[in-house]
Amino acid sequence: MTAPLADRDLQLLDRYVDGALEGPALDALRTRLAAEPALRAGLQQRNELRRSVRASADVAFSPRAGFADRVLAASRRLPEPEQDAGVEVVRLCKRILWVAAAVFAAAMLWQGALTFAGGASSLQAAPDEAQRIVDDLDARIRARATDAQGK
Amino acid sequence: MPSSDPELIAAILGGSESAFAELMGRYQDRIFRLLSRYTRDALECEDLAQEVFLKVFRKLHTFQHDSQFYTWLYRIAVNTATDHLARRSRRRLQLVEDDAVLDAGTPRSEQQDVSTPLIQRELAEVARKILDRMPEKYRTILLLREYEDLSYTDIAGVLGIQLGTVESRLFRARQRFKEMLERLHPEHAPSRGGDQ
Repeated sequence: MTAPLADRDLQLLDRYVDGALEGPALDALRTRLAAEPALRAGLQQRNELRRSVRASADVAFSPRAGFADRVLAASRRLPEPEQDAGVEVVRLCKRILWVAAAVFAAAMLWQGALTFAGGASSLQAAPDEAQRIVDDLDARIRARATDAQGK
Repeated sequence: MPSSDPELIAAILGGSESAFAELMGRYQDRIFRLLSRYTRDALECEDLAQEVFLKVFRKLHTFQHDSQFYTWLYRIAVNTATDHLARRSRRRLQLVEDDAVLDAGTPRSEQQDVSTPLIQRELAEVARKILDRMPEKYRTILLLREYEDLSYTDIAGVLGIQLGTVESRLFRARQRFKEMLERLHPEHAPSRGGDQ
């Protein structure tokens, strides 16, 4: 009595039987089949199992005459081809993502251009300029407050 | 001159009924054959096939052409059949395991072909009963591989699963079939090989 084959060997034999094995893996299995009687017995058993599964392969219904005409008639009674809601949602999400990506890319380019053109210092006002702007704002606020009290 | 699937699809989307009829004619036998594995009733099989082709008609504009048309069609057919089985199971109107139902609805080719050797016919019936009783995911993958002869890649496309999953699920399905055959009908089980 031969030792049971491991599942991985049975799975390998299934791939071989299904024609899904190729290249070095196929060559390696053929070499093993020539040398290992238990593997050959396993292959025979997998082939027999496959024949058993396929035993009722030719048992099938056939379309009755006029089947296509009946489907065509039913298709004429259908409403207009529906727009799949799920597909539409996915399309909308894709569009939003594309727009967001484009905005982000444009922002990064703008930031990069500023940095490249003048360095980080170009984004800052000089101390005296900053003071002048603050004084100007203070003056406006005081003027509005005075106007408001006058009214 | 025969048209390719993409040409027919373009014509159908343009409103051609004859193109749709041609596409149906091209695939209806395959779809009936596949659906015959999910029902034993000829009229039910035809209803399912009609449902499949009407879904194709309604959804054709969503077909992406990034896979073969028949892969997409099989996916619709498998989903329609399994949804149908789930509904029927919930309603409990008809049990596949009911032998009376099974015998009453046996497809013609099996009932009438007396030239087929008796043992082969018996094995065919046994195989069918076992497939009927298998979990749906195992039955479907066996049907796609053994009856429809789809490659692993096509099966992965139809079921929306990875290639590795196809291999492992197919292996487990065959093991399940073998166990059921040995338990229920040992007289038809494969000769003892290297895996017992």
